[in-house]
Amino acid sequence: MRRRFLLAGAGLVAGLLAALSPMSVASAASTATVYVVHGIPKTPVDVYVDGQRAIDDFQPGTSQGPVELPAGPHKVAIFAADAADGSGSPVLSADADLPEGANVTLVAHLDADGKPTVTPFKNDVAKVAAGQARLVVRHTAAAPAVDVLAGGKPVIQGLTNPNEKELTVPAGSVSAAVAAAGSTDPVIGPANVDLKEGTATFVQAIGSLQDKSLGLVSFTISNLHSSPSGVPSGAPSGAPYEPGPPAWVLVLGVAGLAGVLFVARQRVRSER
Amino acid sequence: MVGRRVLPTVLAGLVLVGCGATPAPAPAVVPAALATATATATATAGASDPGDVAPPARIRLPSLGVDTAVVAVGVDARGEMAVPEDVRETGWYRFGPAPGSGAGSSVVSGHVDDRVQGRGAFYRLVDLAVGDPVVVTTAAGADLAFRVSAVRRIPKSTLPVDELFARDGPPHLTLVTCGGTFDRALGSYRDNVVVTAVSAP
Repeated sequence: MRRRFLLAGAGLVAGLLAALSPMSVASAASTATVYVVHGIPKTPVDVYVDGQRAIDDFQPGTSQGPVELPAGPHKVAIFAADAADGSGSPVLSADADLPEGANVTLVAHLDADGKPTVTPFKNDVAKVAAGQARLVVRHTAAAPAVDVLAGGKPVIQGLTNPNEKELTVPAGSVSAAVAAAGSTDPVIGPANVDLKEGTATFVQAIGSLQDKSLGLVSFTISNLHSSPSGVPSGAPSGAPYEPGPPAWVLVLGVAGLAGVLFVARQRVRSER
Repeated sequence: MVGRRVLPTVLAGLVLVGCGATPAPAPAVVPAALATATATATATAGASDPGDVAPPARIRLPSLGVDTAVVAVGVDARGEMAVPEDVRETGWYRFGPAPGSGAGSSVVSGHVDDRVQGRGAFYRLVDLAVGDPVVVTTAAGADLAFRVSAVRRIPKSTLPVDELFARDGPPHLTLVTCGGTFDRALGSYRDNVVVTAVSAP
């Protein structure tokens, strides 16, 4: 199953990447890493690559991956899962090249008008600063522009299908929701999302607003952590420990001594 | 005659005031940067992922007579490892492996000293010798025994942070404090003291 999926994904990616802006060729390896998200409601599908079935009965609202796929050209076709094997007209098809070293997500979803489509996204797998986490939100639902809320406040605004926006946030749990743009009334969520340090979480909004089938499909890529830049384990007050009284005590002492001597002298004088 | 009697009394008073006043500047001198660091650590407390290993609660360095609390820390506002404000405590980098994990470097850091607070928990860390014992007690109450395998003093400018904070490779404990000369212009020490310890069951 896994091996067959591998082949399938390769073809699908290949086909779809043609539409992508130039992808960075990250390594000399002749493979790419692929995730697949199924965001078309009520439609289990079979995925064929180069004429062979690769994913059987891929359920809506789920994702598969990661898989390392050979780079190169492939033909991909997606059929309704109950169609006769490899025959008839595919729901979706694609035909193109998969670049080496790419890390991508293929999202089968509804466009803003509710028509099935497939959109490839490049996954940002750059290192994340120490203590931080990356959150990528993709609007792949049949719905108008949305805002993404964290703790009830908009952190992403005006996101439209089929686009994505990313944030870098302190690692931790966040209460996230999706609302119509300009509103704080959730159409999805709120739900607690645990954004672990040094990871990237990719959240796809899927389904249809009109059909009340909106939902989220997410997956996380780990091991993107960075090291802290140093260890400031010196004096927190900005000066080191010095045995004996600090300098200002000595200064006060000298001043005080001078004052005392003066007063004493005055007294002695007045007693005379 | 009168003058002679007054003088020592008043001087004694001055010295007492001096000692007593030493801790007083603490709130003013321990400023925003540390407050921010604490806030950051608190805000991200939910992210700790020590796996199935309990976080460290205490660390002992028997050869130095050190027995101190360990608290979980993250990063400060500048992206450096957060170090507990109280110099008597040490901090474990909670985004990395906990002591006793199967891989990587478990980092515990403590202040060397401070003008206001005095000597820190790791004041004498540089005096550890290869072979000295280190004992970490986990929050679950287990004692984990380590032995010092290296003691290094490294300029902060060349600190190999990716080695210190490695999350893979052979499991070990890394203790860090400051050392070397104190740069008054920067308000910090020039070096880090880095002690590596490996499991010694």
